[in-house]
Amino acid sequence: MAWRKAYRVLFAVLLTALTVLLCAGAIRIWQEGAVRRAEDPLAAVYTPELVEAQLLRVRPLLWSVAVMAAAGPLLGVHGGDSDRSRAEKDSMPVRVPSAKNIHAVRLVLLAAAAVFIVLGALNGSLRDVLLKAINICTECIGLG
Amino acid sequence: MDKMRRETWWQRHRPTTRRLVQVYSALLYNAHLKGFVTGEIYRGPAKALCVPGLNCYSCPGAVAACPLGALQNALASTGHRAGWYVLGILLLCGVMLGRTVCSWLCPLGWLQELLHKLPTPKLRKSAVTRALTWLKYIVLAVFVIALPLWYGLAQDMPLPAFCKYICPAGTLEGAMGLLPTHRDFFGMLGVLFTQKYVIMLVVGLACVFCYRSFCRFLCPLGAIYGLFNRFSVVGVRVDPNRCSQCGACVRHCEMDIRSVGDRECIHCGKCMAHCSQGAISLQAGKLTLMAPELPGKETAPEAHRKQKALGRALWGAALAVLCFALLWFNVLDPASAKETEPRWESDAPVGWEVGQQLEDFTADCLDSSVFHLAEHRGEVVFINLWATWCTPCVHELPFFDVLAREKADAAVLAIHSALVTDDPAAYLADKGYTIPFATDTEDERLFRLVNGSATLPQTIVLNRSGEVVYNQVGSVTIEALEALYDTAAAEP
Repeated sequence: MAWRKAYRVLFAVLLTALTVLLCAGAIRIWQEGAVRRAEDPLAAVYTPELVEAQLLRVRPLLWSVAVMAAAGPLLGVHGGDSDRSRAEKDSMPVRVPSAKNIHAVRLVLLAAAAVFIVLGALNGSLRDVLLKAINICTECIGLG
Repeated sequence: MDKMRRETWWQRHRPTTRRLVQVYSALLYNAHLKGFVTGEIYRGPAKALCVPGLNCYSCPGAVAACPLGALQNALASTGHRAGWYVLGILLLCGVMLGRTVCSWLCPLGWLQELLHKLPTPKLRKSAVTRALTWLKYIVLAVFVIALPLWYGLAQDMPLPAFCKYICPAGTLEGAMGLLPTHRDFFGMLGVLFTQKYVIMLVVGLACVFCYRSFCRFLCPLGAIYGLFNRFSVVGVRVDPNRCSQCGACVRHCEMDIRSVGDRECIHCGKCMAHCSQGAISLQAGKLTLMAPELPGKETAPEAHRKQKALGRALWGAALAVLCFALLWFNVLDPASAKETEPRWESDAPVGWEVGQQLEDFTADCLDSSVFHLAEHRGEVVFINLWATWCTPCVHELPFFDVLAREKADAAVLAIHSALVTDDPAAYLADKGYTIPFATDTEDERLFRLVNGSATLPQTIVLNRSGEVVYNQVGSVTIEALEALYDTAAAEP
């Protein structure tokens, strides 16, 4: 029905606008912070207060998106149909994979996996995984 | 229509088995629920195991390691030790499950599917999306393999490039998971965070409009598992004797497949519902896990009852495992209990906060000298907590060395974490640094004195009176160090 389509389009526009505003807000905080940091190398670029202020600015949009996302399914508006390719030419005949030699390949790969894991336990790479996983590398998760 | 009316709300909306398995695996991977409240990551031995799906190990809830993060770190350490263990785990998961992991066992896959349920117009798959699927192989080759190998071998610097520059799971689970409980982390946010935050939002938006965008176009773990899809033990299979080659399975699939079970197939099993011949089933070797029921070919009541009983037993066992995991990782595990005790209160007096006097200590240095803090009264003291496996740590070490050379009244001590992967002395041998280096003791005595933690790097600055003027986790620049020196030197 037409109103459902309009609902989807409106929601898409609001969601895109929200994402753009959140991205722009983050970039603005960074730009202003970079200027502050150029003057004072110890100045913080992001602060909880700046982040909260940015979130406050997009709060109406955030609420609109949240309400529309929750109301959509209740009103019977679901995501548009995407489970068909645009054209028939995109679909290809089904190719049934050959079972020939698959068992042998699996066995060889499984044996190799077992050998690698044992080698890893012996040469210390198992411990390396543990040590990396129990410590936080702030740069690796994007903190800086 | 009549059938729709007869069905109850629950029958129309109840989650599928796949959805339940996705929720289950997300909960099991992140069973350390109290971490989301305390902000402490789990540090027990279970983290030596890799989960099959993409789940950041810096997430406060994670109880095991991410295979992709572990792979990058293993490749970065190739010059010191071959990462056989991670290769073995990836090979095992690949051969056993292939991309079944993506649709059934990946928390990020589940999140992408939830986002795609939002009511917006959707982008259909096309030749363009098909071409974009090759992008994830480029990401795999460049960010997961080439860059970590290059930095590891040529520069002796561990760089998990995919985690650092792209991974939205790391930003969402790691950074966003830790920031609410660590307000002091805000001080280290900068251009890298901005970049990763924007990537996370854009990827999230893309997933709303385009089914599993990250999974289809960017995920290197999916690219790796896709290579094993033809050989995987568990997966969707087509019965060649029943298949009529109508192509309905391919047309209705939301992934960019050309045939069922190819490198893009995630074995979700949705195609079973569209196959009029009932030729498609989900199998583990020769065992059929899921198969459609065709009219006139229903399972015998006795076999049906047995199947249901087996299903209930399996779910019962799975729930028991989950309950035990939740209990263990939040209450019973000694590693989990230890983190609830304040790390620094047990044996060190309060003295690491700004404005407080740091407790005196001595540290045995790698060059056989002894660093005695009391002997450096009257100097500005910089203490750097680092580790060879920490990229920003090794990146900023030269700054401390430059500072020590330039400022005659500045003393620098770099303390390596007690968790040693590579011999620090061997690592430092050809670097030519002049500052003293020490390694923390097994009981982390030195780290405790300055409130050091598993989060590295950390810099502590003392003024001439031995009072703390700066104690912050995160990278520093040479400009920041000089400003810190000026601040500390100006104080009495």
